[in-house]
Amino acid sequence: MSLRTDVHTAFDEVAPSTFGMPDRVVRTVVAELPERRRKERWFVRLRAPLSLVAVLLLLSIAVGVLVGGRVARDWNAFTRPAPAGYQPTELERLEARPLVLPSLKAGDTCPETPLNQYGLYGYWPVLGAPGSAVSSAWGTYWYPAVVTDSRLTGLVLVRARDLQSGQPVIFVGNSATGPVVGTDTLNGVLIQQRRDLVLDTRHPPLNTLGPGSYTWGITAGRAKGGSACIGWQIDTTGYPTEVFVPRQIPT
Amino acid sequence: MEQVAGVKVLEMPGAVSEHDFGDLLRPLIEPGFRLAFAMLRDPQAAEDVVQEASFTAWRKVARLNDPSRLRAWFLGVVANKCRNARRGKWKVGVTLGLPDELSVVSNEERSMQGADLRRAVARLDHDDRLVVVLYFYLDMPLDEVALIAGSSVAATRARLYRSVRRLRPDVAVQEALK
Repeated sequence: MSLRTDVHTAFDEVAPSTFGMPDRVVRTVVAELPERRRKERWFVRLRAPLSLVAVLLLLSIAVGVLVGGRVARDWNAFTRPAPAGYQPTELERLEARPLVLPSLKAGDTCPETPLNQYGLYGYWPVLGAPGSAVSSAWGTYWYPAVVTDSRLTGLVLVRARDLQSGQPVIFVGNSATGPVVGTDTLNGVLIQQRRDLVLDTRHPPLNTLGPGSYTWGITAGRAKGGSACIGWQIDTTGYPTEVFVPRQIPT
Repeated sequence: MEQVAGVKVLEMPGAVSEHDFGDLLRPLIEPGFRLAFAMLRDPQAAEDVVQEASFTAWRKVARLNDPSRLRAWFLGVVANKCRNARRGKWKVGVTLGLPDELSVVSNEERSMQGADLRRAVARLDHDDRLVVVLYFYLDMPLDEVALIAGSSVAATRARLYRSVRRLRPDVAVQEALK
């Protein structure tokens, strides 16, 4: 048997009878033609508007993406905190605190702060201890101390002014900070005079007056011609500003 | 200009009336169904395909510029519908499950051979199966098969030879083509 015969046999033996099928299909098709034609017309009519709608939709999406992206970016820029590099440092925040030291006129009495129960100035967690003074060709240097609570973990900013003249007190040594405002020779050593003093309580000194506190020996100076009425302002992270005026040091 | 199953159709003025279209369509239904049935092996799906092909034919028949090619053109539409039906079977769950084993007790051996051949034809890809069905089952000449398949006669012949070798590897091609 040829392949043609086999193929015929293979499909004819399972194919259903097609008797009446052509008429049935034609009847169905012809009956549905009006409906199909109507749908075709609608489709043809809607083809152009639908294409236009599709284009407009695409344009809307594109514009939406662009505008949305810009709005999102602006919103992010608006709500995002300033970059880390522009975050004010702890020291900058302390420096931003205003100086509240009083200004005295000529003849005013110096508002000295009495010593507290510990024989120190101020109150916890930062206290001032008077120290000795030496004179130089430039002016006078003192060696006071600052006592801090050992539980402090932030910075302590120390600023001082001559309350009569408004002249700033300078600081010398490792803890001195801020711009260099002058130089001098102290004990045969060339020193830089700076405007502020910063104590980092995370790196305390080894010496201490007693348990629970650290004692920071500092060097401060005042040029010749100033008064002996010196106001100290202590700004400590997490604590309010503290001001005291030690007993006048003779010039 | 549009190409449908190798038939170039042109825009022609006027439309075919429903009555005339019915007359044109009627003699094409049976070969269309046999083609669809052999391709899909599902009588219901085959009839649906022929019906859909008829609607497509109605939409485009006015553009057919050579009425003598109407049968080839229509069978080309049916073949395309069969391809789409097989593609869509995963989506619509069309069952192409004609039983391979028929309970024909009168000639069991012949029935088994037929089932084997149907399985072998079903394993061919669409284009190969189309050529085999048109040539062997619908007994169409090779040039018309080529027209429906949308390829050249030479390419169609090569496809037919290749398919025959797959169906009857132990029989010479020329012998099988008889």
